[in-house]
Amino acid sequence: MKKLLVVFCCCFLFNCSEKKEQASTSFLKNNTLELAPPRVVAPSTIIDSIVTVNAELKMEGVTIRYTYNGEEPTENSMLYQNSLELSKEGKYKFKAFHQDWKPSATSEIELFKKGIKPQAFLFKTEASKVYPGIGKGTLFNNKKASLAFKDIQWLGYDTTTVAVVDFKTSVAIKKITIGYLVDTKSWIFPPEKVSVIINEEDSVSVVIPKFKEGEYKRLNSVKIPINKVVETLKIKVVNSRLPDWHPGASNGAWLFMDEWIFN
Amino acid sequence: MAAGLLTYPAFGSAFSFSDSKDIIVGHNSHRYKVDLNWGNLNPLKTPVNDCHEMVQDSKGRIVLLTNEIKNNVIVYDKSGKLIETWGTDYPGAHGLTLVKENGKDFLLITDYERHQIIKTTIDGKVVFTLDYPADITAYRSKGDYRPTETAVTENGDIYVADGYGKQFILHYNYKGELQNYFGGAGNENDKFLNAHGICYDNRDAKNSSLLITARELNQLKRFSLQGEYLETINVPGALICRPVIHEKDIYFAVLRSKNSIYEDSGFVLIMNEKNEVVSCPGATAPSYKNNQLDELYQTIRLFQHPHDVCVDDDENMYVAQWNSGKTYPIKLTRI
Repeated sequence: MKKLLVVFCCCFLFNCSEKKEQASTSFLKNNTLELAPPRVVAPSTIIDSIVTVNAELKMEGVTIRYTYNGEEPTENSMLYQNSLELSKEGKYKFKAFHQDWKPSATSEIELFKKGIKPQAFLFKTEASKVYPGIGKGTLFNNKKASLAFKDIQWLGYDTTTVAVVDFKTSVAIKKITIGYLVDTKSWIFPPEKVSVIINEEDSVSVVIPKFKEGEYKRLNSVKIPINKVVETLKIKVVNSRLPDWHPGASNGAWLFMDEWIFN
Repeated sequence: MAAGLLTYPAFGSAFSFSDSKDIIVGHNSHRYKVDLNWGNLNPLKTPVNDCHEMVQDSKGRIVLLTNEIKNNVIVYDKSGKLIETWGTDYPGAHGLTLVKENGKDFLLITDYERHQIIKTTIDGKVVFTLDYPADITAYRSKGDYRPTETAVTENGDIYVADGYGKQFILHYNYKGELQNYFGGAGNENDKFLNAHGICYDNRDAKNSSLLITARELNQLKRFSLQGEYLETINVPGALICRPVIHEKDIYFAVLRSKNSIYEDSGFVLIMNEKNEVVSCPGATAPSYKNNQLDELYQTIRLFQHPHDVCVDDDENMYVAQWNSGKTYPIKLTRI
């Protein structure tokens, strides 16, 4: 099944505070409402050789523009015309434009280079029995998950995740990418911190910034720079606690991961 | 996939604009101008919570049902002017059906929190209530019964859709005596996932039947009045709430677009007398390939969570919305 991977933001309020006494009618004018964000679909977001990405907003007069340098698309950005055959990893952003409607929110898709598969892995902590993914291999199967937390490509933890991965030989690793889900309504938050012990000698940590109050649902990832020849990595992903602004404040948050990629 | 942008659907243009620059939504025969100010009231005096359903009564007034217990029923004229309000006892006010008996209007209110159907006069006096069907073994307590909608035939028979409960359709006579029940939860032809809305279809007077939505399945199903399954009409991508028949067409509020990653992705959908989708205000233009409807989805950020539509005697439409910032209905004026 194709995955729908889009990140969006939108704010939409109707003015409902004024009583309308008269029976006069004021119809909505051009350029007062936004287009919906384009649908961006790819069969996989892990690049083996090439990934085909499709974007669409099926509506007459709409153009879609995109960027791959991280910037917000504007009316001067590249015009999307046909499916994109992509081999470069990174964030691709799409926006819809129409002369009579405000531009859409931005849809985003992140592509990842296929990594080196560890020869062995040993989990020191167990995933939740409720969200076991497809077993312990879930994080190493080159399959990313969708935004639905019930997707079996998600491995769900309510504790810190600790695992040792072993390449059985020396390999040069530049970075580790850990893919995770954010779905604040479902108590699923980014990890607080990721620590990696390299070859039982060096260590590196990355702290993940916290969200401000709000409702978020998106696919996200954290990248841990390694830049070393490694044989084993001990990876500790610390699950966060629900922040004060959350209805479940003070409880532990869920940590949902779909893939650990070693490049 | 890019063909979606290059190949336009068989049914006319998706959106167009008049000289006056009023936006026009919808497609083909059913296109509308949008009035976001219609029916806006002072929320301190006459608030709404979820605007669940609307009907037009015999006097031409627009009757709105909300689960705001300060005023469960708000009666407007067609211009959006407040006429009256009533009702403080319907915390789960959800379904609203107009019943005409000997020239007199009555309402059936479906309240899933009270687990009851309440028949009232048009000004709010309770005529009777129907409790949960304790005689059916599937219902162990009233909590199992969370009805969402009713439909009434000419002879006064009442069909209740238990859309948030056990997914059965319950058939009562005019006195409120249970006659039959059918459906239940499941993917099969004769079952439902979220049997949310029901209506009595007598467009073909010799073959009158029931139309019932299976909202989670994006399907409209037809059953005989005896409860036999007859057919399924697929509306891919559209979480249709309840069918509303006006003249020869069927109108639906669509709560959400199925595969949207944002929740408030609803729109409105209209079928013609052949049950073909002809217009989707707020969404993609309907198009068919090999008699299969292409997936529909929201294209403009006009609606949030439409929950019901009411079509008045001028062919204009009112859209009531669930979970949409306590906003009042939106009026669509047909052009």
